[in-house]
This record gives sequence, C-alpha cells and structure tokens, in this order.
Amino acid sequence: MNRRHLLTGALALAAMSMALGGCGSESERRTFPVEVTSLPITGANERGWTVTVDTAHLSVGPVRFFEGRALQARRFDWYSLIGGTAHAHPGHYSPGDALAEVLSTLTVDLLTGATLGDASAVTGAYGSMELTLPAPTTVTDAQGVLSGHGMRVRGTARNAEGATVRFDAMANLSKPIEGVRFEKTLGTEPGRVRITVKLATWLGRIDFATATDPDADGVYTFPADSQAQNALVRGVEDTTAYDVTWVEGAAQ
Amino acid sequence: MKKWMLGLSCLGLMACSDGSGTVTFTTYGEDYIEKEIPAAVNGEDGIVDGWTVRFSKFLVVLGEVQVGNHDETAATMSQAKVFDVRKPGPVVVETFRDVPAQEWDHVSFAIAPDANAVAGNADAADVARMKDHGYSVFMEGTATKRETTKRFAWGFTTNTVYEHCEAPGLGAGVTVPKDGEETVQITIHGDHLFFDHLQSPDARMRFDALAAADNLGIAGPDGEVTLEELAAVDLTELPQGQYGTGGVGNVRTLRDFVTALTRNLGHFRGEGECEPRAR
Repeated sequence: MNRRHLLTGALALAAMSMALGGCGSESERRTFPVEVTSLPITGANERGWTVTVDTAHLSVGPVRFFEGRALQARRFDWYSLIGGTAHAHPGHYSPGDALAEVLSTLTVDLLTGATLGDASAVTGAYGSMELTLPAPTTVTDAQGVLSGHGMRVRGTARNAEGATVRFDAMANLSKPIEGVRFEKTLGTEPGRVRITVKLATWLGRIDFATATDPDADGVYTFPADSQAQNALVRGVEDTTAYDVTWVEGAAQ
Repeated sequence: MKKWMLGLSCLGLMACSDGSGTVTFTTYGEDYIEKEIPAAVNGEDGIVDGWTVRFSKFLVVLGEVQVGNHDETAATMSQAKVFDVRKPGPVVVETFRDVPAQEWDHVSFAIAPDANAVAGNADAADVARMKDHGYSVFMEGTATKRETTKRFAWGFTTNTVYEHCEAPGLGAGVTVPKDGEETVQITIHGDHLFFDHLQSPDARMRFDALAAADNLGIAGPDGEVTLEELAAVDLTELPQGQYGTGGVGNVRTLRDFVTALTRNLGHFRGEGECEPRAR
C-alpha cells in the first residue's frame, strides 16, 4: 500500500477491521488536538557556544501519524493478503499506514507555543510521526516573521573566548521530516499530542564562527555553504529534535 | 486483524503440532558481497556516485540464534561462529533437530563479539583476528571509480541482536514441519554499509565522501581509507541531504555513521527484516 494513501487507507483498514467484528481490536474514529511548543536551551552547544534565543518561529503542517515505529519500523503486509506486494527497505524506517493527520499549516511562535489544530484520527497503535515544515505563504505568515523560510531563529551566541555572534538563522527543508518517534496505543481517552521542539538540538552542532555575513546592524546570517548552515539544517532534520508526547486530559 | 489471522493460524497448527522436525540456519552474503556492488547505471540499484565496491573478505560473528515464541524457547545456538560471507554461500550456521513441529514466531540472532567464537567457514587466522580485536564485523576490499582505487579494511566491535525476524510472504519466525526440515537464511546485506542515510527509505549508496576521507587523514592520501580518517570527517562538512542520521543519536562523524550502519547488516531470508537492538 502506498503510504500516500494516508488516512483514506487507514480508515479503510479501520472499516475492514470493524466489518470483521469479533476478530480482533477495532479502530474507531476520533480527533485530538496537536500543539507545538519548544524546550529552551541550557548550557553550551557541542562547539562551545552558549546561545540565547530571542525569537524562534516555525512553519508547520501538515502533521501525519503512522503505525510504523521509527528505526525499528516494520509493517504487516496487508497488501499481500489481496495478492499485491509491498516493499519496505529492510532495516530502514517504513511508516506503514497513516492513523491521523492535521492538514493545516500554521506559523508557530515557539517561545509561546500554539495549537496547530485537531487531528482526524483513528484509534490504534501509533509508532511515528511525519512533520512538514513548508515555506510559509502570506496567509500562513501574515506578519512575515519567517521571511519566507520554514524555520527561523534569532539570538546571540557567545563562546568561552569572548566572541559574540548575533545571528539570524533560517532554513528550508526540501522534504518532510519522517520517522519522528511517537509510540502510543491510543484509544478514545481525552488528551492531546504535544510536539516539543528541542532548540538545543536545532542549534547544537553549529560553529557560529562560520557565520560570516553580517548585515548593517551586525547580525550574522549563515552562508549557504557554511558549516553553520549545514549544521543548522542537520539539526532541524534530526528527528530527535522533536519530542512527541501524549498529554492526558482535555485541552486547556 | 493480524492477531486474528495469527490466531486462526495457531488453531490450525495446534491440531498437527505433535511430532518434531529440523530447522537449519544458513548465512549468505549474496552477490553484493560475493561478487561486487556495482555503480548505478540507468537508475538501477548500485552506488550512485560511480564507484564499484568489491570485498575480499567479509567476516561476521554469528551467534545466539534462537527459535521460540512468546512463552518458550525451542532451540538456541550455544556457540558463536565466525563466517566469511565473501566465500560462496549459503553455508550452514546451525542445525536444530527434534524441534517441536509448529509455528515459532520468534526468531532472533546476534552479530556480536565473542571471545569464544569458533570457525564457521572462516579461516583460522580470521577467527583469531575477530577474537583478538573484539570484532563482530570485519570487511576489507576495494572501491574503484575510473582510474582511482581506494582500499579499506574496517573492523567493528558493535554488538547487535536482531529480534522478531520476519520475511515478506512468509511471516514472522519459522514453521517447523513434522518429520521435515526447514531452512532459514540469515542474509548479510553488505550494501547497507554504504547507505547515505540511517533511517530514510530513500537512502542511496555512495562512496565519494568515504573516498575523500583518504585526503583528510593523518597519513594523507595513501590509497587506503582508514576508520581513523573517517573519524576525522564531521558530517557537517558533507553536502546537505547526504548522511542524515534520522533519529540515531550521537552520530557525528563518518566513522560513527558507518559504525551505525553495521547494525543493519543482518537480515532474514533475503529481504526479510529483524528489529536490531544495540547492546
């Protein structure tokens, strides 16, 4: 089954399961809110820079949830039951069937957090999440805080030698971040999904000394071929930068 | 539904689970290890940046082969063995006789260092090499691109158990036939060592960055790519979009990266998968 069948396929599976009532667990339709927030940075990064973040914004959505577990993901070959074949590369992440999705796109101020929207979902065993960080539009980022990029962080980095770099870091990803870990057997209990962006992971490998393009105000951006930009993109792509948890109870 | 089907399957097998059979485990390096990993041509599988890799040796320490289910263990390999899967295969790893004839849905094995390992089909000197250095995996070979050839000889001490093995079309584990024999292949995927992503299903095989490491190492460009040279290459020096780590933590250098890839060498019945667990 093509993973892009997404929720349609999942709901089809749910319907099939329900049609075979008595043969095992049944999936039920449900919704849950998805919120996005961040974890502040503490301490120096791997390159010895201590970072103070002034602003952090993210263009986020759609967000999709899958049954396949990250890194150890496998799928049951449903398609083979009807004579088809389904291939997943051995040993690598395979998302399996979609169980939930939020289709909206929102610009999130990571220092305050926001609710992205309600996920259309089915109950079941969740294993992973896919996060899309699209370039914003004038609709999704009316104030232009992202300056056309998928993410943006501004702040100041200082190292032990006394160097100070005021920076404005921006990145676009060419594809969604797949295989973010979210292992949860979800029934109909009230609650919400919280995606916590770990800013320390985003900025953790950056050598700010390689930011060499200051503007008139002395704020440095990262040249496209710099270690800083490369490390930033790798940090944003790192699936461990996103801690996805289930928060019990009704949304506040 | 899977559970339901497995339940039906169990019901069917329970009626004929008396008696016993034999399970033979083999190991095989496939053409990629026995012959070569070709350069990708016209979109076919291969190394996408034009290199061809040939192994001269590919040693693995296989042990802890186990057959069982949720409740019990039916058979366990007691002695780790060293195999050179560069040699023609498949070769027998272990034969378990008098195993109760039924479906066993838990099959696992380990690729791990073992000071007491004995020869499978590996030469005595290679067995000694693995034990003396505490290696679980060792490979040597050459990579060639046009007029350039790079040698490599890499040993790894990773300790990985591969659990819950499952094969496409055959399902999880193994079904032991009454008075019969089932053969199960532990397949070693040598091509995985050259993937450029630790998690993505879109990973491609590359060698440019590994070859370039020979220019960065302490000994300079001497034609051999060493693990020490790979350790000198921080991933942030490599092109964006290559050598992504997904959710695998603490992978910072090319050496870290290749080491992490060694945890995905073990497979089940060809293209089947197991869940690798680092120990």
